[in-house]
Amino acid sequence: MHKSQFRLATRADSGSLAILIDIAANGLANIIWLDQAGPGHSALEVGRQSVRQPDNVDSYRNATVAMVGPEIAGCIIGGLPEDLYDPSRLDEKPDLFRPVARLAVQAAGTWYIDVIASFAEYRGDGLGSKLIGVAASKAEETGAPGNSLVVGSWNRGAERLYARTGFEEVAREPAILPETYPQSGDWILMRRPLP
Amino acid sequence: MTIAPTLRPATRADAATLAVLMDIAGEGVPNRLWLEMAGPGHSALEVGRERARREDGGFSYRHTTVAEIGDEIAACLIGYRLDDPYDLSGLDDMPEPFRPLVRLEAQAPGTWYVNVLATFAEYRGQGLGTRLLDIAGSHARDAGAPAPSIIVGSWNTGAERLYARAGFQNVAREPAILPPAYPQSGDWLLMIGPRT
Repeated sequence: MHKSQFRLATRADSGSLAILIDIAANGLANIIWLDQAGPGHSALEVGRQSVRQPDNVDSYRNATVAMVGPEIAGCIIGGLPEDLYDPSRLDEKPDLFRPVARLAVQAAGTWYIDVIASFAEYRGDGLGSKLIGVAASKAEETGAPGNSLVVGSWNRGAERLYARTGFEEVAREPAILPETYPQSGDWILMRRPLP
Repeated sequence: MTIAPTLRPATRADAATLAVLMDIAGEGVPNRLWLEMAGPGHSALEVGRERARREDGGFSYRHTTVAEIGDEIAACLIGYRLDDPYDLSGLDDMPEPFRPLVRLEAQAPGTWYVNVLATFAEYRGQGLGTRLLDIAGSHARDAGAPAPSIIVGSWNTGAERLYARAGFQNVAREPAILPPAYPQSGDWLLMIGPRT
């Protein structure tokens, strides 16, 4: 097993965080950034800039990274839904993410895991469970009684990991995915009390 | 005011940042290729990072110098010596958009080719591009190449001016083949830098 260490992210990590966000979102983040960038511009740079903004949901300020040696192996990004999402402004979210945001606001009071992801080289190595452990410490630090997250029903491996670590389904919304996507199903909101 | 950058060879840990810089330099075309490679439902951006992590190939971190300001990467230079003689036999098997670029590379055999030169928006206008072009000249000399070379889009007039100021001269051009939705259009220009 790789030895991993955890630290708060810095702005210098923004490129890695943008890619991890896209991995967690099955490529949906890139689709939204492509739309925002427009033809002839770099969508990935739009993603990096979005992570560099201190006030965005996916800001580096809400991120903790897992380091293996000198490399970022994975990350967790999150916070209290009431700090991350304004329930009266969910209509402004991109169509693809609106059902996810609608679920997130139902988890107010918990420490919500907006992004949990690792790079392919570091998967299957227990890093996901460790990142969930980090989320539990975050909940404890903020005085939240537990964690929450949203997973796609097609993402069986991830769902199993969350079930194994004590997450239970509390709500779901039909996922609206691009027509070209092989995936289909629901977004599932899961919660777990502090262990 | 210009803050002096720290220059160093890239490491694998820089791969994600290098993917962003490649996509900036390629005006979003790299992302489109990664999307095709990844297929729908997968992260194209991770494909970009993996290409930068490879030990060889035109985008490898091993061919890369990064310029850091503080603890952040501000710009990068990716380049290598072109084969001499340059083999054009695989040209017809390549995706069409690359063919004009490869035809131009074939006209600069043995030069030290700058594949990516890019600076993040926050750090532009501070002379980093010029500094990295100097480094390209040193790499060319160290590699025994007669000169550095670079290809720029004719629509990218700011970059072309920067290269001209650094002593690069236009030697050939080919009509560019860009994705249909692109607002850019014009030629790819091959420029050769000062002799080493």
